[in-house]
Amino acid sequence: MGATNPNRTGLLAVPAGLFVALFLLAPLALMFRYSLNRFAPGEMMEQALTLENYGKFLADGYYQGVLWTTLWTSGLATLICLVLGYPVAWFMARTTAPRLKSLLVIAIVVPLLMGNAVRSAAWMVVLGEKGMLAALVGALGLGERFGLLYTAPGVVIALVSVLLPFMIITLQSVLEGVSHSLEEAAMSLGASPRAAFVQVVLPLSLPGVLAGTSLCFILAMNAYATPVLVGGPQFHMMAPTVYQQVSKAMNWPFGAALAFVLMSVTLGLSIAANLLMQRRYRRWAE
Amino acid sequence: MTEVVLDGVSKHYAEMVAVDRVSLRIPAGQFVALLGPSGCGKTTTLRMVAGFVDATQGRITIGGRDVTQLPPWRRNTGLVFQNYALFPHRTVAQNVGFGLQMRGIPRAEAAARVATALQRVKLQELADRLPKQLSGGQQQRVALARALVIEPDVLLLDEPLSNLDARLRLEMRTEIRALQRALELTAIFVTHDQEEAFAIADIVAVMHRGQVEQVGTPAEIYETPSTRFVAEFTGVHNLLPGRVTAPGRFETTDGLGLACTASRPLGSLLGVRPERLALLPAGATADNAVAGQVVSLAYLGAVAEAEVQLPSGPRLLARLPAHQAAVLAMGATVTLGWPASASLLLEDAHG
Amino acid sequence: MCEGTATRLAFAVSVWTVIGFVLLPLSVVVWLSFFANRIISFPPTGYTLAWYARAWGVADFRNGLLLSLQLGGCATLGSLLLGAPAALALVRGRFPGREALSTLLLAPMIVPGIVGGSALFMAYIEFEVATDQQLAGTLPGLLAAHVLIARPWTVRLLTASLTGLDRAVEEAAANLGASPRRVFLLVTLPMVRPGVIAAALFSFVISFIDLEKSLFLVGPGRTTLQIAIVNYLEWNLDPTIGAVATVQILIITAALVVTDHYAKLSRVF
Repeated sequence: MGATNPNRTGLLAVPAGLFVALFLLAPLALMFRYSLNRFAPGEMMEQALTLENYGKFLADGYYQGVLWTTLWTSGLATLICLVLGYPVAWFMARTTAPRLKSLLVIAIVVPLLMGNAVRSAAWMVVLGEKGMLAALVGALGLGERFGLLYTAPGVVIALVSVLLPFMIITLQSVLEGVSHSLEEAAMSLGASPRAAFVQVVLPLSLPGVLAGTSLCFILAMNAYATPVLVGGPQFHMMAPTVYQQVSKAMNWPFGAALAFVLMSVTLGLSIAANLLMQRRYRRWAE
Repeated sequence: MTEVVLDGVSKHYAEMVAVDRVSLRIPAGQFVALLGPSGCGKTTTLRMVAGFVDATQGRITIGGRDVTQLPPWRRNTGLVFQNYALFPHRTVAQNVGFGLQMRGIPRAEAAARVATALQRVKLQELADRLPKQLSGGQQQRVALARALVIEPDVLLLDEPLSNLDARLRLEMRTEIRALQRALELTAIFVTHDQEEAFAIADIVAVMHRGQVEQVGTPAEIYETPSTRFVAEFTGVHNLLPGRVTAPGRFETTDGLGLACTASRPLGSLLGVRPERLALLPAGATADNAVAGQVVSLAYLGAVAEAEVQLPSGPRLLARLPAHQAAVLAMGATVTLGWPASASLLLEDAHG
Repeated sequence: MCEGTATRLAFAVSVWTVIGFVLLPLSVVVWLSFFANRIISFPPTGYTLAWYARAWGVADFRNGLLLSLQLGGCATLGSLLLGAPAALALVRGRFPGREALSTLLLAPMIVPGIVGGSALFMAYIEFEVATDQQLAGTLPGLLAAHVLIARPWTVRLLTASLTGLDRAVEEAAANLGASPRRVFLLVTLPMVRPGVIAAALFSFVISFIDLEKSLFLVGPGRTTLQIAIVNYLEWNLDPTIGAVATVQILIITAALVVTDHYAKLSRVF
């Protein structure tokens, strides 16, 4: 391999690069152009160069409500994932027994690989009025017909269950890098486990916290199956709304504008969080 | 100045005994080295003193206070880690100040103590650097300052020099020793390097298979190793099996009669250090004199090592002044001699 | 000793509760698939295996499963063919714009599925209008979308694998007289094999469980399993779905187990 020219090695990436350009960038550019067109019922759309689709989004309280619902649902689900996931990730990172560790990794990864449709189906069964949760609540005599299906809390619970594995895996990989001897060093210097955690482990794991929350937030913002199945017809989030506009209402210009709003808000918030973090931790986080 | 006592301390894991009834009294202000090969239990012993490993049995007291049940953060030990374990997100000063912060020392006093500690390890100029901006030796000094600034009852050092290059290792060794003396600290130092242990410690405890095989001053360990393991680990390369036939007489299994001191009546092995063997000029005599053929020669600089094949079977390794060895040739017949006092009588069995 | 026993116990309980929460959906659907009663109620009135037969009888599920398996296999192949050379280029190549290329190649992971899906759908329709060649609702159209989302995983996993490879081993082979081609085949490839296998697994799974990208691109009589599940759930909720989900869980677990045999998965993450 030493004989090959490293500049020519770059050519090996050309097919993949072209593929991305052809099937991602060009379509995105095309869709952006469409978002500037005008909707014409019956003939799809007419050529134009207008911002009125974005204007419609800003003017229409309904769509702002959808975005707002999407934002707070995603934010809340991400926060819960962080709170629930951190201890598990820490526990996994500090588990030294190899068999237990493999078992834990598999227990977290397998649900991740099962897809959102199947997991949402399970939550429909659990949260429905005659579901598992209702049966449990009823058996305990705490109330009847306790259903969370088609409610916001139901969607948050289902989203948390869908996203939690992503959070745990991300945090775990960062916490693996925080050497246990640092905690021991802190304790030998008089820090209680709590102080060692707050002073040493937590600050060092912040890059992982950021990576995990960004990932979960992006995935939640764009979730489709969970809001459709667990949220039901009255619960509206952005991704299903985009689908509805593009595929059902056939209003491509507005659907395209919605898609770009969704993408910009998601990526904008993640990038902002990244920059903020980088500025704060540039010195040691490399 | 604090005395540290380990009283019958053991650590059992599911399938193995890592530390087996170790008893050790470390007088106040003394520097003790736990010496042994990897897996001998020396680091586990140190970590039991620090509180990171629970003792299965036994008691540990620091300054008369029983700490066996105390968590690490209530023991007031200063621990220097092998990989230094500096907090990467804190500056040098913040690293050193960590223990003071945990003890709730007021800011001004803490700053002054940190400055003194940094001065002691000659790092006052680098107080605002981050650990990754320091060299290995500097990181080592920060780790040391961080452990010293809390005025620990006992300083614990876990192979602290093993990540440094040879020259720096010598320098830090001297410096650690000087600091320990100046601050009159009790210290426990874990190492697998015999020379390092001998150079730095007042007392050396040689550990093997979880047990302390011998405790003594470096000179005692060197001159009178009590077991075959201690002898081999401290460089007694020549071991001849046989038995004591009369006080001061040892007969090897291949029929060689050798002189030894009469003080030790028993032993199934006679050991001689390579550096105690001397080249006997023709006509000279010694308590022990054996002739053989030079089968290998290695020139090491100040000394040279020669392996000599005895006609009766065993080979002896001799460490000779280089100028003497220079005249030797492979295959030459030489006579090696050593005084009876250099014959070490040992039991073959371990323990 | 490090902490109060009560605190430790509370911590352990909360950790295992969260793990249980993560595993709950899987256990629920598997349990559900054996319920005797059609209207779901807890506890079930009895148990049966009939739903598996019924699930196979539903054309959408049967064809969806077959299409998804077919797509997954082809997408894996496409993902490796495009991704492996790209990973090699990123790790071994020294050329201007390497960082930008890396970002470009991983971009399909960042762009939300629904956004990329809508864009691709519009592009397909535009293409159809221009050339009279249908892409939306066809196998090639779906396949391109699946390769697009699977390929970044190949690049990511293989990049990690190649970066961890000690160049000295390849140099040793060259020094012993191996030509660059033989070095690659006899040394490089076997050493990155776990990475390749993991990449194949991920490509397959990512394709198999994709929903958002395929949503726009499926056609009548040509739906993937995930879409068949979502469509079914919009109108029905009965143990059939448990049976379908259980079959999917078995397929993916089998893929995991087989992969784990060749490349330790706990080391991939």
